[in-house]
Amino acid sequence: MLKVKISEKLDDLNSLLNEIKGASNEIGAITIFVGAVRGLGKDGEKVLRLEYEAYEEMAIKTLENIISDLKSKYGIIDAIVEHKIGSASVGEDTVYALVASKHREEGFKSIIELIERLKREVPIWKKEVTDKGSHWIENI
Amino acid sequence: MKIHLNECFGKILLSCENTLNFDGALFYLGVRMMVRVKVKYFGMLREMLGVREEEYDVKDATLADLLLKYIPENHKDVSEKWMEAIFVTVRGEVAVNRDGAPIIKGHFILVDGRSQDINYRLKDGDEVAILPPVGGG
Repeated sequence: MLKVKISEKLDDLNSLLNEIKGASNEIGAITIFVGAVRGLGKDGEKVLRLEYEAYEEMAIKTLENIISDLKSKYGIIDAIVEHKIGSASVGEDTVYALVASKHREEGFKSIIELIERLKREVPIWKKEVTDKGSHWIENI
Repeated sequence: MKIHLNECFGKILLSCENTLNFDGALFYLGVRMMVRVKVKYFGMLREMLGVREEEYDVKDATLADLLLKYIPENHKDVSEKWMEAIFVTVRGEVAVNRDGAPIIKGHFILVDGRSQDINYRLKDGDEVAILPPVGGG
């Protein structure tokens, strides 16, 4: 299945969960990561919103390559990743990542690696808008 | 497009390969073609330049020429900020490596989705994407 989506509107998380559950009867664990907009900046300023943009075709290709790597490395069965673009208010979900595997161990390892690589490699950018101004965030 | 040199350029070229592609033939003759490339900007660069994408007509140009000359000349109001954002600079001058190529600072430059050397020679229809350090998640 391997579903990757970059969109202004994320799909319903429960429907994604049901979708990936149905991918195979070998699935014994589904590991989920949800990213959301934090209300405090790193210096304690009040965050008003995040603004995301992406090089969409490259972002999708990079995420597909990451998932393919995880399948080879950990033997996971399938994965779904959705990432929001556009404006996101405090508390709003911005990333859904679901990994389906036979056992929990490869699911835990894969979800960590997937999100770390997403933050380092996938061409998506975000601007943090706070009550004291705005700035682009770099994941370094 | 294939052309026969002996049909188009006369006897002077008959000693060469009698078939070359069109660009190759013009290159041999010392004629530099004007090529059109599309440039895409993202994040901080898109905001700095105030444009998501634009086209440039360039002549015998490399990626370095595009970044060092064509783009800053077209955006004079922010050319200093551009140079400081894209390149490693020392006292306002762009730093170069041992080969004399400018050193890029934290950005990825893709041509048609593939990473290319800064000395890559631009071709007609190339799509150049200039990616600042990423920040997703």
